[in-house]
Amino acid sequence: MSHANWTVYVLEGTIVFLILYKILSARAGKKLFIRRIPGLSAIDEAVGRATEMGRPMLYSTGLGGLDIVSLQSLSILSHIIKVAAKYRARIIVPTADALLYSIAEEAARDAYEAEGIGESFNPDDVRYLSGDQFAYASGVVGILNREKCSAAFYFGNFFAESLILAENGQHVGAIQVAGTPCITQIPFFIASCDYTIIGDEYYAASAYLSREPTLLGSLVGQDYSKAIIIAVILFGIFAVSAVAVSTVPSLETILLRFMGAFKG
Amino acid sequence: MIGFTNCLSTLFVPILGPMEYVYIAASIVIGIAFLFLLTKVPNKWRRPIIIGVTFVAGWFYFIEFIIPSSSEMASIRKETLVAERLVRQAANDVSVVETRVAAQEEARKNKKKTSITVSPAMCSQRTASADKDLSAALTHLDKIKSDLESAKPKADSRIESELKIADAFARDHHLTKDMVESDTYNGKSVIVNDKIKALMKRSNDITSANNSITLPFPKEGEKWEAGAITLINSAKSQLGNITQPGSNLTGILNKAADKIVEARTSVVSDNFLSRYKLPLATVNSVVGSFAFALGLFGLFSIHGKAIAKRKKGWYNSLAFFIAIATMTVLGFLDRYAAPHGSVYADFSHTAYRIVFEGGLTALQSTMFSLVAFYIVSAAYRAFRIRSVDAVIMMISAFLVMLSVVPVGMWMTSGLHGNLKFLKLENIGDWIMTLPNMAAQRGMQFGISVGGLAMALRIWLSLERGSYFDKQL
Repeated sequence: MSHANWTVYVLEGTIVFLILYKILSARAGKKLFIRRIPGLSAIDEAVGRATEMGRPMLYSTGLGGLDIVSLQSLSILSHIIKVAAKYRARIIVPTADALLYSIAEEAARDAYEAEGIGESFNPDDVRYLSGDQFAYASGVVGILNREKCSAAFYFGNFFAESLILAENGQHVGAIQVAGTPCITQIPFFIASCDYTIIGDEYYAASAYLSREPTLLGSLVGQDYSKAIIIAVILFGIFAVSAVAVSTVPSLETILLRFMGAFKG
Repeated sequence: MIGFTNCLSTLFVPILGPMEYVYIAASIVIGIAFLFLLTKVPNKWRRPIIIGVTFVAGWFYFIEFIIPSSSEMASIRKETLVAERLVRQAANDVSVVETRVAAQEEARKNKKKTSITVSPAMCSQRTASADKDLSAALTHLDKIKSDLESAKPKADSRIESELKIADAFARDHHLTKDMVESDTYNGKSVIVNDKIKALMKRSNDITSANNSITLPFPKEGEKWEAGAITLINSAKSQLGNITQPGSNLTGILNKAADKIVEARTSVVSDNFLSRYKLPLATVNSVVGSFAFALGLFGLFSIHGKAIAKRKKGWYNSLAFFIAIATMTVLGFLDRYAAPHGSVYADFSHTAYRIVFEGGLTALQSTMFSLVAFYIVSAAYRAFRIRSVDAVIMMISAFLVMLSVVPVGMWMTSGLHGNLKFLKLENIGDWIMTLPNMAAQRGMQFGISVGGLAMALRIWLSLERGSYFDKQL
């Protein structure tokens, strides 16, 4: 679909309204609950382990360019770097996109400055490796093996290289946490990593880690939106089934019109 | 304004010969100066600039999306929606009769009693309703056909006039074939630019949509599929035989509805803002190329320090410099240095191919091939029976694997009749298309809503992250 139709206006408008409403109510001081996500809780554990072992950590932003997925990855990176800076642990951030590289470098610098140790930031730890998929993969594998990383985080867009990275992380004994919205790569991460954040948990990460009211409100708004989508799906199932068995032409017409509204 | 545009066009005209190197050098100098200026912008200004640009760009894409497509195309899209609904309605009527006839025939063949009846009144009512819907759908399809037919010459005439402008520009600025992008239009090679490419795509899309609506049944040796009008006419003529066993009008009508959907998706849908999407993407690429320079500087810095300080593995850093120099020199030689057809051209092209295809591509394939080995080790860990979940996963994976290999199909090839659903290929297909697909789609919904919320927060600068470390 290139342009919105009335169904999109209504559905998207409702979702946007719910998210903004929940953000505003959270900022007004309403307490919101967020369930425990083991993969995200493991991040602090991984940073602590790296500190104890005195070995660096690796954070891969994946192959994506400067998009929503990568910006979310930077948000998580920012939190991890702050924790790492607090414990004076080293974290290496290889990137595959030049635009992302410059933003990641600034994010890392800001995180160190936020912890009051801006002088400890080493710009060489945020690296642009290559925009080529397998050149990037071999670069990350090289870092994992040379630096004997004690923890590896994979957050972003991943493709066929996901298993190469995660299996090498396993090989060097790193505790691994991965999160990606790329559905085809989730099984590989589940098989190779200690913790995997799946589906929309990826977008819940920054809210979970920072507990910012704005982000928590947005997360609750997302859950309400999903409830609406589930309701539409259930009604769609009912409509398709009813059309298949109905003997009342006028009801069929109404239901077919409803289903037609969701077509591009 | 026209003078300014001409001035800009002249500045960006492709050029060959010694001036080209001046242009390349000037671009590098301007790029470095631009980057230097950016780094000198104070933080208190930089963030509002970023947020402002994000907000304006976000508004552009938002408005472009919510404004409906141009009235001509919007009308075609609307007509296709109505026509599709009518055809699906007719398919549903036909399917009720055909399913009952098939069930009765099955019972007759197996000499079983059945409570399913096919009353003549119900048949005639359903057939009449389907016939009425199909006639209405044909009226809408005729309207779509005539709209598409009138849109085509308009699109083609715009291409012709743009081609003339591009041709005149190339002639005025003495551009040779090597300096411009070309494509084939009406069997001849023509100079194209982004605008012409977009117009050509629009024209092709109109043709595809028209084909989906109007193509006749293919004769022997022809490979296209019949269009919606042909399929509907064929179904209409067979409505009288609907009570005959083996009738498959439902399939024909569903195919016709699919063809209408195909036509709708083929139609280019744009509004007055859509034409600015491509130039904006170009601006994005230009900014991206500046960032690439930053990335390259970062790499030079890391590897330069490694060599200078003789760090462990410094020779790998040296290999990086040699590789980047070799690829750059050979790339430039292949593109610019040697005149075409000369011995030097052959040499530089061969050298470039040896390094690119013989070196880089082979290395990429090597890395990719490692995936096969890693799958085995990852699968071993994943399938170790540690919990109920792991057992379910292992059994499902085992069944799916068996379902796609010949030995798996052979193992259950003896199952027929009521036990046919237990064939491994059916079980594998069921796992992949029902539970697996349902889980994937469930996740996809969550991911999409999460992405929408994230985009909204960034657009409205509500996101807290290091790139927006405080809300404005």
